[in-house]
Amino acid sequence: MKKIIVSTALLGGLMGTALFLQSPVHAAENNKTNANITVSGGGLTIDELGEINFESITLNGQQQTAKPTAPKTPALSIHDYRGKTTGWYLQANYETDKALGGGMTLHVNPSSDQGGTATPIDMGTDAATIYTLTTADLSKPDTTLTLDPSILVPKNTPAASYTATIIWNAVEGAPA
Amino acid sequence: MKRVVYSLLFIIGIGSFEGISGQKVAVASTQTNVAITINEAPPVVPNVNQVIPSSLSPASIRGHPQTTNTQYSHYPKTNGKLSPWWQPVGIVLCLLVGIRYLFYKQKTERRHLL
Repeated sequence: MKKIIVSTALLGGLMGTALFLQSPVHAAENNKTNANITVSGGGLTIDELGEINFESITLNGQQQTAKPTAPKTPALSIHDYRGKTTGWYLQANYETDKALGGGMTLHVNPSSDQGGTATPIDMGTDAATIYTLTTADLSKPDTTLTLDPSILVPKNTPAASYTATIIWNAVEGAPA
Repeated sequence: MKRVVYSLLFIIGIGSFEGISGQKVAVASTQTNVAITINEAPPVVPNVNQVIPSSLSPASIRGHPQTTNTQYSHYPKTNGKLSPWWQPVGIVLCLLVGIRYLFYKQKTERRHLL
């Protein structure tokens, strides 16, 4: 009888130990998952501004100023999707051999819808900086630069139709 | 000779390196065409209602005597309108001077007769 009791107790102890040891094995089966993603910068882009047409001027013996008619308020849209705070600047100049003739001057008086420095210029063949953003704001990636251009027509300009081509360059960094 | 060549190559190499490192790369670019038309001043058309002196009327220019032509007014204008007041004033003044002259003439004749 004593043997039976001891055997039962031992068996029970072994089973209990086995059950007790089994529970940590279940806890070790938990899995981990790592989520990975790479975000790349989309770059700096300028929307196309194909044409600026100015009002026709009739000579009257005086110096005159022509304003744009289509579009009436020309503007450049610059998108900064680089994803970094490094600044950028915008330069403008006439394309080689495509300046406005007749002694006329194209004046640009820019203004921006966010911080930065807008500088009025008289368009020339050398690149001139018209807008500088020292530090880019990641929460404001889109910039609208209203150009407010005008053409100064001297009284002795020969009557003709004139065209010119402006090149706009957005450059990363700070102007030299 | 070799030294000269090596020196030149060294200078060119340094120059190229400087040129590349100093160059700024435009990251975005676009272009815009600008157009404007300048017209010549229109010819000046004389106003047909303008006062033209009788000496310059077509008839006198052709050497013919002046004919009645209502197109050409000889009256003075003020701000483009005929002055209505000077005609009666002028007539009255002329009459007064004329009458005065006649009286004066009669008086002198009577004195001579007496």
